[in-house]
Amino acid sequence: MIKLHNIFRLRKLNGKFVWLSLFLFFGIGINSGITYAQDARRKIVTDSVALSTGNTGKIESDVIEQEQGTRTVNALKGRVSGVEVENGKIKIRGQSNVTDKLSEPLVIIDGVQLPSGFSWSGEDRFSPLNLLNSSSIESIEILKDADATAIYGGKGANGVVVIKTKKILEQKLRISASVAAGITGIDSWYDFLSTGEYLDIRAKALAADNITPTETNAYDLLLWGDKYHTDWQKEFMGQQGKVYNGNISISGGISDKTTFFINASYFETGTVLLAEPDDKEKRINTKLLVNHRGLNDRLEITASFAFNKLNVQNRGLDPDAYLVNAPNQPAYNDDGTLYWLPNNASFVNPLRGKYAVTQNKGTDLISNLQTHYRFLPDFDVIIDVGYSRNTADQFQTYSEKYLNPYAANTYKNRVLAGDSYSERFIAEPRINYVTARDKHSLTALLGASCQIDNFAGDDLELRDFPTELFFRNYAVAPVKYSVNSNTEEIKRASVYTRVSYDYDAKYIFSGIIRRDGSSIFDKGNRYGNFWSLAGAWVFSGEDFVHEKLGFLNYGKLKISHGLTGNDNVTPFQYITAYAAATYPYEGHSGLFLKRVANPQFTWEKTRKSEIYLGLAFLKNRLQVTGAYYLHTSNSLIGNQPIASQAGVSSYKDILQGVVLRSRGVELDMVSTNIRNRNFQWLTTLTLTVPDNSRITSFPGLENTSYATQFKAGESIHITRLYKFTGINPENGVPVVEDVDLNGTITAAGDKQFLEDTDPDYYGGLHNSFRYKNWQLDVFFYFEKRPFQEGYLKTYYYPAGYIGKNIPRSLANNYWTPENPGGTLPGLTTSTTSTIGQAYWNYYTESSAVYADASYIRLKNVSLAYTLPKPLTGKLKAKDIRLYVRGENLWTLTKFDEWDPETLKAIPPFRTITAGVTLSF
Amino acid sequence: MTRLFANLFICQLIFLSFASCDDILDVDLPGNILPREDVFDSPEAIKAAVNGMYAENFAVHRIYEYILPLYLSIAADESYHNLPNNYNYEELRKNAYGPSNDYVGFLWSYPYASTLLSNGLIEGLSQTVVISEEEKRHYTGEAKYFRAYNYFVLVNLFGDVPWVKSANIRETALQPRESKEKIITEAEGIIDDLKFTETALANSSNSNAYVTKAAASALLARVYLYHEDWAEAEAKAGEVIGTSGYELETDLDNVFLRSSKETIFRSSSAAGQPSYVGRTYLAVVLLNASYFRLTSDLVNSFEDEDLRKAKWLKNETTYFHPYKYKRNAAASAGAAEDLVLLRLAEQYLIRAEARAQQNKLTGENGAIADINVIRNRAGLSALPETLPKEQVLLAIENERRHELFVEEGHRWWDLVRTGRADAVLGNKAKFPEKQWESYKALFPVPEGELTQNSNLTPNPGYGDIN
Repeated sequence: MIKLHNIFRLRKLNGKFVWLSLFLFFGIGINSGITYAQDARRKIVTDSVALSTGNTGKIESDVIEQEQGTRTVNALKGRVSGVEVENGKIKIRGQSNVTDKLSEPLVIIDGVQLPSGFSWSGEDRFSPLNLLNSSSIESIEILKDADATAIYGGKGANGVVVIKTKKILEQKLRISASVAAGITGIDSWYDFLSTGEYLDIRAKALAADNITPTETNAYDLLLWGDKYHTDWQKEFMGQQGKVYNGNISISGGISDKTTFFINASYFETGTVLLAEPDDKEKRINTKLLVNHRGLNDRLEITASFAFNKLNVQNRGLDPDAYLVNAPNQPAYNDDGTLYWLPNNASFVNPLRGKYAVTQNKGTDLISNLQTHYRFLPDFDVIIDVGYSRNTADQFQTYSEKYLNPYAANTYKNRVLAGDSYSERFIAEPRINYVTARDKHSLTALLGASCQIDNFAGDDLELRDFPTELFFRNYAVAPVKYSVNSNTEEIKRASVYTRVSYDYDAKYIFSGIIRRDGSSIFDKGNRYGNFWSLAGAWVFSGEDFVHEKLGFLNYGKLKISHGLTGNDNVTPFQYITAYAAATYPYEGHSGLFLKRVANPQFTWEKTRKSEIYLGLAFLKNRLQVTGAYYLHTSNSLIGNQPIASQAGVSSYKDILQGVVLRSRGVELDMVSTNIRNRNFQWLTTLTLTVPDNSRITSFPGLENTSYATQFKAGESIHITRLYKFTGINPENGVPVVEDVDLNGTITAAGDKQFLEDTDPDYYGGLHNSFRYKNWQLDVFFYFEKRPFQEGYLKTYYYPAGYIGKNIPRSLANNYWTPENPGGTLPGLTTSTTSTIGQAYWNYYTESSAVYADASYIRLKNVSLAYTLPKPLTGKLKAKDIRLYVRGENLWTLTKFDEWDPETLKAIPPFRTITAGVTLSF
Repeated sequence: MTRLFANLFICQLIFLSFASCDDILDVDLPGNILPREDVFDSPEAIKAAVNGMYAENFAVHRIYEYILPLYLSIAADESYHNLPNNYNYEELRKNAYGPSNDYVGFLWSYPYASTLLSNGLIEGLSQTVVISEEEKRHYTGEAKYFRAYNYFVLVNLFGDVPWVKSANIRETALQPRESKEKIITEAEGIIDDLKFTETALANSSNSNAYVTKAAASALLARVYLYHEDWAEAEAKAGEVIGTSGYELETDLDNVFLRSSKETIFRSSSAAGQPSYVGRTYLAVVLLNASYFRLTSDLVNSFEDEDLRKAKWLKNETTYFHPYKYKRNAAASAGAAEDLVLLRLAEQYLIRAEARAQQNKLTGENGAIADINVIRNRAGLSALPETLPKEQVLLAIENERRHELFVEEGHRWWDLVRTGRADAVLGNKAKFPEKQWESYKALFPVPEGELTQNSNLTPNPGYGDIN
């Protein structure tokens, strides 16, 4: 397609127009989100000036392939301003709804729109991005503002992620391959007390509580003593996994009219956590693409077919809860079986996780047929037809060995199995018209889209298999439940048009109208209209700039405003319906009135405004773009509360008067610090200063179920906590503020809205050095997040509690009668002592457990060496490159609790690989 | 250029108007819901919806097995809990509840949630043509039983309440309070609904795990008693007692078993199912020594030879807990138990009270004879026929206390309806922590309801929350 357009342009028009059209598509194409049209001229733009990293943020393969794990989505972190990646979820410029799920962006892979997240027991990895091998992605673009997203109308409110995979369309046979291998693991450890110190603090806690140790209340002291030693961190995550990555692509053609591209890749990583040899994540990607041009190049057909598969096997364990177990708790008996504390039904051996195996298998098929026909010199007809199918198969087994033999277990050898698939058919015909006369040029696009989604899934529970060898044979399980099953269908239909006009490549206007229909809503409310208007002024094209501001070689000011929508709501909420009763009655299943529906709700709407400035100085040596955005969402779908005399306390509706606002400043900078024949030093900086997802108005909030979650004027990530005021010097009890002054501490009366957990700013700094054939890339991610929950939030036991170790930092300054000024609660062995109760009930729900989780992390370092051409030539290769890459190598943070990025015990893995890429 | 723009614009208008057709977006329904219209288009689905009403009422709305017995016996003088940090319980125990107490909120909202199920069924059944009139009446009768029970709970706890008789939630959510008297006596009110049920189920072959004519009559007898329609109460209770098939179990251990002949209406806890539908929860709560304990006032009030003290209480050295149900999970060993909702013993006590109020104290058809039936089974001596009316009424109160303790909050309602609450719960010497005032006989209309529905008014004594 690239060639097609160029040929036409060159053949038909004089040189000046070529330049004009280039600029047009630079100006409007990229910056106004023409990506949709899969337009050829994009390529020219991206090749020409890096300035296009404006309000459409874009990263390319050299950056993407730095991300080597199965979480390809992390490649976006810090690389594109305005984009947050948290626990595998992408958020573009905050949220358009108060719930995360309704705020997921639209994801498009090679022109096929995919569901943004494949939910699979809440597993984050099933972002569709994670099914792709990072080395096969050509580019990822993030469309953010109204002008870029309004063309997606009712799907554009949360931004759009456009992914293109690599392809080569040339007749000459070309083969390129790469292989890499490496290791992944964890080597930052928490500093817990040693066995001796632990026993000491336990003895002190028992003394403080005036409790005489017995084998029941102090089995850790009396039964275990210092006889055993287990390093739980090493047990849980002390292993190193091996990483392998291989990729091959072959391209060529029967003629210059018919070409093909084949790609296959394999990725494997061993898991780090409590792994058995076959616990691995494996991913296979295959892709076949055929391209044909005919009818004097007026017709171009591209068919592509991609199949991706991801298999993950791991063990069920909960490091957040059990990493803190006592250092003298035995893990195994002498015979190698798990240790269980005799006659204690509630005792947990954390390593039981070995006997809870989870196997996740996901497949993803994406096929796409694109037909591009130029039936008149100015008119193109483009028809895209896509089909995608995603399957998720989860299989969890709990062997009898997982269970505490002293507990009254209600089951043995248990299987939880879940299967689901979702498929999408999408067809998008459109007509594109381009014309130019003198200094005027006009592009008009008219398109339609039809999309059908189907989903089906079921969950089963099977119990009491006679032996774990039969886990795959459901027939032998005497107890079987179908826990859940469901099917779902959604249809969407849309028409849209875009007109853009420019004069002399200086004044550019663009307007979009789109009408979207969705079966999510009831008849009469299915359609919504969306639009945008944008204007750009390339002021560097003005004479006065040339004359007065010679150092400025490019400058553009752009303003856009528009309306986008969101229908990402659970379907069929508009139907008054019965559902299966929770339990059978007298052995018969029943139905009950699950929902008295309100059919009135319709599209959520988000108004987006943006002002953007792009500048290039000193012959493009310094390129800076800045954007200020303001998004307001004011027709949020939520639970409208009503008096419960109606029989329900809320129903789905547009929440009247509720306004959610996201705004912020984004800055992107590319600086060529040094550039000469042998050495080049490039610095890229992205910085986002967000003020996102703030509820600016919520009438009657205090009477809704959101009352304890949100506060008007605050971010939706506001925390509602007790306010920790210190340790009572008399008795070591942690004290929280008694807001209602009634003498007792209750959640309703004394929790208060404190700070939000949003970042103040975040971004990335990338330095790239090239010396002759060597290239070094160093990428830092940074984030300022002053208030975030830490370790104690997940850890409810006071220091001195039976069987629970504490980090050294908590043993430094605890209260004792001799140390009345201690800043940590006094020691206690129980959650029912005065200290223990306060600890359990208030302290862990107070501001005391929040801390500054800002950090700077050295995310990626890559060193590559390209073999000199003469040598490469001798090997009959076109290009040979060797590299070493490292991920998550170093972190600077004051957060001494869990990891500041994951907010859990397990930090992102440190991965180091070495590899070679060859192309012939 | 201008003409071109104009042409394009027209083209696009045509194009955009093209897609306003709703029907092209029609989709297949999901597998896990059934639209209301479809339910009432299928005899099987209607039957399932009736069955589902029982399941949800007992397992989900939890009025019978949790909310009433637990909250009301704590608010009265029967029990306390061992969760001193739970201010909701503490306020109930001290009669210090206000409109913001969460459990008071549940006492209000759960009966209404259950009523919505009934109203949805009643509305749907009135329109369906796929089942016979006979079946329609049968199912409607079952739905009306639950609606009547819910309003019986609501008016006795709160006085005047919104009288919701439709499933149109956005309208009913704004209804004002209706007088208690109307809700009890008018058409589609409590008495009218129960009479409908009696007739509709006259020929029913329902087991006692479902509503029967006798269940409707038994509840109606209770309603008449509370409403002080003494003659009707006496007659209705007598009718139930005379119904063949029901008789008092002689052994107290058998009263709460599934096989009990005394049971008029019980919930189902089908064996082998993961659900125990209601009964279990109560059993667990009742057996959960750690937080549901009987007051020493109740325990000490039993006469020494009272067999109920030995068989229905369990001593945990420092305190007693109720032991009417003896199993704490459906799977555990022992004979099958279900939550008993209506039993014959109560009918004797209803008839006794109704007779006493009509000064029918002695003889075969006198109040004292009915009381003695219950006392006799509990191993107690018969009351003398010479007792004056006031003493007989007190004896009935006492007998109800010992026979029906923690069941459905009977004690609370007895104290409130007879006006004895002031004397008993206001007794500072016995209950120094209780902050009893006469107005607390009605619970406050919950705060959330008052703010959501501006047509509601607070109950007297609880102030205007604004």
